[in-house]
Amino acid sequence: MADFQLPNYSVTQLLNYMLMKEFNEDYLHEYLDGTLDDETRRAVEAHLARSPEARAQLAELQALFASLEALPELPLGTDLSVAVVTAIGQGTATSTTLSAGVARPLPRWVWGLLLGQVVMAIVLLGRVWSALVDWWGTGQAIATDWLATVQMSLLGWVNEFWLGVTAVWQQPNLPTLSIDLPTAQWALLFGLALVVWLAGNRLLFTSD
Amino acid sequence: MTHTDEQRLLHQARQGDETSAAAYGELVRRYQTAVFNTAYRLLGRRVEAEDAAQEAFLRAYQALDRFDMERPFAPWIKRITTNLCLNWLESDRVKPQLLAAEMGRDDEPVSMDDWAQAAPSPEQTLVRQEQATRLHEAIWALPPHFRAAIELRHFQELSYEEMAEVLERPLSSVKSDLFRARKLLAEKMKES
Repeated sequence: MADFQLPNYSVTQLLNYMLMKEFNEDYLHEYLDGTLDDETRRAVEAHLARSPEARAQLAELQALFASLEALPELPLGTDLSVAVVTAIGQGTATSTTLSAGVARPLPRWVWGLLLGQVVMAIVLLGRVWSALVDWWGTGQAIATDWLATVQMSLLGWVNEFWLGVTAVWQQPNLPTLSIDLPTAQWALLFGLALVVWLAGNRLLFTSD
Repeated sequence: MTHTDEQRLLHQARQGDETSAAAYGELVRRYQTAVFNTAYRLLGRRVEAEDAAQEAFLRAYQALDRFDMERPFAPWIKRITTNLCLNWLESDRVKPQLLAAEMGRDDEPVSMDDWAQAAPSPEQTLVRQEQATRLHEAIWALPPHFRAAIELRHFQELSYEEMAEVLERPLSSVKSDLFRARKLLAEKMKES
């Protein structure tokens, strides 16, 4: 019987023997990786000699190792150095945080959307250009009037709102917001909002 | 390319003058296939792998000042690529590939012709193609951390400790991932 030889083992060998009594497959991985100390390696080898199941597991792992080692490299279809050198030349690789967009241009639909926005902005600004010039010509007075109108409208609305809330606390009767502005000034307001929107989109698309 | 040549190019690339980009371009040409294959094994898609390889080279260029010139460049750039791909996988920037049939034209896996270029002889081509395809599909079916463990141990030949350092994970977790990944791969290979 194999157990009969135990008294000849060193303490470490005995411990290893006991360890192998509850054999863990992890030992096979470490055995193949060559990371076991001599004593444990010998204990694993002894276990392998006794256990056909462990030998089968080892053979399976060895076959996997061989397959991984034999995995051929896929040829690269394009020369990446051109794009890398170009990006370096443009200074994109020296930024603190390299944008992921450096390697990948934005999708075409984004560029289409931006183009559409630019066209719309130009058309709208063209539409309100004459009003803009007029407004510039009349100067401070019209601006003051305009701001006063907006301010009074807003103050009036807030006042009515507050009265509505306090009068009928449970079911407030909300007034309708009404700002009385000429059509051209509405268009100007819309054009400015569009510029803000475009600037916001630009920030959105360039941040990653 | 000898280590001396590589060091010369690295020093030149780090100088930041007009010859830097050209010197770095030479390094890119030298290692681009290996870096692309690292990314491809992790991401499973050719287009994304090319993007990842390109970005990895740019990030490495950015970090050249911190690179120890006495060390070889290849392991370093491969580690950068591995971490980059893992980040992409974890951020769902690249969806894991499970089945070739699920992919569109741009995301086609390696074709038989591609493998044929890498095979050493016509006689072994078919067997190697099939085995390589099966193995790749089995690797891509693994969770990202398992894939990374296989990549670092078997293709970059790192020790357990080095793997733990690259992945910034405890040694026991890395070993567990590696062993479980191997077991899953072995089972997959046995099934097919």
